[in-house]
Amino acid sequence: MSRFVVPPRVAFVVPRTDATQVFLMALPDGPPFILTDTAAVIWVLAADGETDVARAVGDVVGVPREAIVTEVEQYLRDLVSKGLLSATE
Amino acid sequence: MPWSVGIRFAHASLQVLAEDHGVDLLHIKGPSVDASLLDGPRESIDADVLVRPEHVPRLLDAMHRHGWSTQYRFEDGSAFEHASTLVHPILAPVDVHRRFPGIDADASDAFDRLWSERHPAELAGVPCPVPSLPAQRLLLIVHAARSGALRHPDIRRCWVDATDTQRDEVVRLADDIGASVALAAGTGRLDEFVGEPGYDLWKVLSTGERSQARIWAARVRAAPNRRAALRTAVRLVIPNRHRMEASLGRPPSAREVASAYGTSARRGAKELLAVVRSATDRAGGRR
Repeated sequence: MSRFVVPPRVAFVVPRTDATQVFLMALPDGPPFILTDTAAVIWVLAADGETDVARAVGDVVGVPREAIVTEVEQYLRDLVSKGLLSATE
Repeated sequence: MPWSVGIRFAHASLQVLAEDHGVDLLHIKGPSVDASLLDGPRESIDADVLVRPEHVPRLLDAMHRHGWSTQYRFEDGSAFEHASTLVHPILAPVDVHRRFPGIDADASDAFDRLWSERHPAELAGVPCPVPSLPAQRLLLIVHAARSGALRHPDIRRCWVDATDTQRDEVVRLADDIGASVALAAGTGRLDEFVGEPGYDLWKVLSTGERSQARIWAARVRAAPNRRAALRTAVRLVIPNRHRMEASLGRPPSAREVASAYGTSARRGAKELLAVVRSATDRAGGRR
């Protein structure tokens, strides 16, 4: 399990709306990304310092960790490769 | 992308450009305003930054190299020539301020004072320097006064609802950076400044004066010397080709420029000429 942080040159906005969305942009030029639904939940929990993101996501969406761990960890690697998260350990 | 997101990203993007290019800038108004001065989320039409005047060319150069283009130059904007508007294909427009209308001290000295009391505020997750709380109160009050919005909620929150100590802090700061007249205009104390430079201007601005000619005349009278007064007067009566181009999306034709002159003339050229002459004479005689 890894811990994640928001890279220093990434801007993010979590709008105060009912929609589950996160807007992200590499600074200074972008392009902007929008994550929605489960993707947004994964990014927010990881950025918030959760070490077991799959378990935390499972708690939010109501499914066992084992059912989603592979997909969640693959998606986290994808976010890291896009520079939208940094893994710290 | 929601407009409010584009504005926050614009602030964050400018902050990174500022850090990369050694530019001192303060994020002002809009989402940078401290939550204690707001009733709720604050939305704007653009992102506003106040830049150390000596650093403005460096910032504009960096912005131009990162996809921004100038929509309005400083001289195309208000008679104060205080801000230039830049636009971006993705982000919200940015108003780059080289001074703040109502602050009459030397722009560099005033910036120094505001910069020395800055603190970071997070915009789109990025720490961005913003003015002190008293400075934020002052800027919001003066901005509302300039718009003739003396009942604006900003004035209520920043002045009417402020404690005596908080008001004293704002007054002292205004004294230090030459914003006492503008502050007085926003807080119902303008009569204390009758006869002071800027009194007429802030009287007409803060009372929502509708006569364009009187507003123009007051601006001319507020100019610091004859040369500045003449420049102001000329700018106010000549159609601005660059602004026309921005509005039309192409350079204006000779006929359109001529038509703009005609439109100005129909607004009451005789009255305008009289007040501008009078104001220019007064400004010239003062120094």
